Amino acid sequence: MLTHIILWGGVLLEFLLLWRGFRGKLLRQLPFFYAYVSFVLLESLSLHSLYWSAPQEYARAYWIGQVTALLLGSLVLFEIYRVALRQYPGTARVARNLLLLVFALAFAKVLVNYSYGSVLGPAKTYEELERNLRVVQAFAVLAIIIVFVVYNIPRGRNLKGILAGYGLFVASRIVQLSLLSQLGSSFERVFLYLEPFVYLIVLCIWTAALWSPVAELSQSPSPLEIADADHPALVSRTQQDLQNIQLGLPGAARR
Amino acid sequence: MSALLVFLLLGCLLLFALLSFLDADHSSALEDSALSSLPSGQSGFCDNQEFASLGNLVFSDQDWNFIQREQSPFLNKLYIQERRAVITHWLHESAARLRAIRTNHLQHSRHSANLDVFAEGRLFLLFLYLAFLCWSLLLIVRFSHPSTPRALALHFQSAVSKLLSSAPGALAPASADQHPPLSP
Repeated sequence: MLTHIILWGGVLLEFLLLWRGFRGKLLRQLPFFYAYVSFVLLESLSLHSLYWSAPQEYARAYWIGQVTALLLGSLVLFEIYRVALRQYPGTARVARNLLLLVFALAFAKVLVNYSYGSVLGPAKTYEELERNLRVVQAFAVLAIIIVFVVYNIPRGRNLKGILAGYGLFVASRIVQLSLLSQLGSSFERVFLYLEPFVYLIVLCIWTAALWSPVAELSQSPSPLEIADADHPALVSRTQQDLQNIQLGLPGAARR
Repeated sequence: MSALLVFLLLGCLLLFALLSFLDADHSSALEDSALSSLPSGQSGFCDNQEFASLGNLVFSDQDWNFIQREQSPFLNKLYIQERRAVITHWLHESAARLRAIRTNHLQHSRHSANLDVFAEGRLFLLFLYLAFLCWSLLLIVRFSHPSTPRALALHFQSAVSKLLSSAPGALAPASADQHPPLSP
């Protein structure tokens, strides 16, 4: 009974989210996010029907669906980066480098696993594969958060909600899948309820955040900010300011 | 089991980062208002030259030598109390200036189409370094004699100078007139 309430509650929220997105013309602004929600909606409905028609195929279809949703979810992260940093080429460059670093490290780990084996070992099951990919996603989310916070990028309620919801989902998936692969069948029963319940919370966050479109997802820079944007000159000016601080601090060492 | 712990920690770290991210709007707004209230992006009560010379004075041994000559335990105690308070205030002011410079830099560099990621990384390290210096000096002043930070600051001065001069577009080192030789 509880499973049905969670399932149909989720489907209802997904429909609501798509309808509000369509009404608020957010579909055009955030196409990957709405494609992701549509995919999850179709996946939920098809998995539900598969569960009753061909239960032996359910588990395999479920994990394949999860990995596909994960790849689509990565596009959502790319969309957050693209939309929020449109007006900030400097920050976009830093974010690109950080994301490249994350993917390069993930690739390096795969190579090391392939060549020598490792403590964690390569994925042997669908859940391990998904968990490992979610770890890469978690680092990508962390990189985006660091860039947003450090550079004080203004973000509207829409983008903030998407990132918060997706970040929560990724974090909970990593924890759940780790416990599942470690504890096995003893955690499976909890997992069956916990996983859709967390996703329901994520859908609630998204529905609240995307109920109406915010006027601007990013602010236009002021003319003064554009004029001061030449990086070598800016670095030189900041170093001058730091030199002044330095002139004060090492006063401790003089006289 | 160790792998499980690593994954659990990563999940917690991500949740913590998300909470900070949701909370960051408030703190950055505060930082912005703090910055705008400071004259020309700098904090405080005086300009850079005055501030630097005040730094020289508060850490100077001259006053301490004078007080010691008086051979009054009461004066010694009073001097240490007062000087500790002045140095603490001065270091807080330095940290506030540092934060203001950093905020100002980040607000402008986010619009730079020609941003150099390595120069940005070096500056970030320098900010961390100076902030660490401020807070270590604060700690030392709190628990030891006010003249103790001199040695630590001497070490940091040479390190920061190296960092500044190795950065591209770095300033030429100040002349000997501006920086009198350091006493041991």
